[in-house]
Amino acid sequence: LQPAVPTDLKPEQNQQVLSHLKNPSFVRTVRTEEVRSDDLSRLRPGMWLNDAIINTYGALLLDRAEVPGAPRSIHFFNSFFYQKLSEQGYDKGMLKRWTKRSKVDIFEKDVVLFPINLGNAHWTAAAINMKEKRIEYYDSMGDRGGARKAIFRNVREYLQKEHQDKKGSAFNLSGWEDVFNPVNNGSDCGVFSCQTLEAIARGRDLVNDGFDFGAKHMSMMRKLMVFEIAQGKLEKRW
Amino acid sequence: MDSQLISSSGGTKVDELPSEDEAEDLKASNKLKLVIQRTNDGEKTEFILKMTTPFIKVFEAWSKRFHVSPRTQRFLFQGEKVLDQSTPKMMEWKAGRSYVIDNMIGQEGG
Repeated sequence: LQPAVPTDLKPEQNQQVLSHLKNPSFVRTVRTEEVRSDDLSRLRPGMWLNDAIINTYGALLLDRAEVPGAPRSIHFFNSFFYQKLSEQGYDKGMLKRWTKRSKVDIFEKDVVLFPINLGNAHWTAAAINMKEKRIEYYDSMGDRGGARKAIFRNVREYLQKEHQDKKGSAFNLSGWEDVFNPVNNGSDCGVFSCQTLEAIARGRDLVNDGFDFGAKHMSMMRKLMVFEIAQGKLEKRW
Repeated sequence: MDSQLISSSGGTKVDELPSEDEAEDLKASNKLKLVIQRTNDGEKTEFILKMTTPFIKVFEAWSKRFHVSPRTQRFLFQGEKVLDQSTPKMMEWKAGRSYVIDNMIGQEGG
């Protein structure tokens, strides 16, 4: 039996969320990411999320993964990573530099996480699970546009090129699986994508154990994200 | 105007090297060259910066030139977002060198 995910925050947290949303000079910087009041207000019900919210949330995931005793070692690429990979490719997009400044060896991580923006209209999420040899793709709208084929192909190419560049040898993709996890909660794709990445970073195996949240939690999740971004730290999960 | 594109192999901070003369002039005046590469067509725009110039000044000038609002634009250095209030010094960049920042357009989705 798993503990139930709450459908609302505590009353005092809700009050803080309201006051953050009303603060016209709100600004929070996490690592190299930043959320300002006009970004934050996108977490009000029904609004579209932008890259500032999504990438700051990723920075919070990175922070949490650095605390001793963190369940998984992770890397998070911001939402421009996949745009560059799909539009320009590894070489022209200079993606080899993306792990240079931060000196990240993605092959030593348990999982590499990244949000994907499709057509400036939809958010999805992907994970490269190094331990389980899986490329996982998550879309709250069930991939109606059929984007996953190209995504799996591009990510495989990325792994090969990054391995060649950093290790000087070919990457062995044998035994690697492409896993599309069909979820259909039909709404709130940006929140869904962030919470999917959060669950994976936390150590949950979404492929085998499924999600512990659903469409009914999205309004709580929006407020939780305001709360977490404002305090610059993720809350402990249920 | 195109910059001299000489890729550097090693190091984590240098993107491209200006010509020797230019590099010395820059170094003597404690400045560096910043190239912003536009996302849609790769067009390069060069700026000469002091070590302590906040990047917001460059981003605003760049945005004005291309008639866009700076709030809709993002600027990345080696995959990491460059914050408005950051400076070359804070990035641990060096005078006399040249650096490339990628311009991207802010994304949204629902």
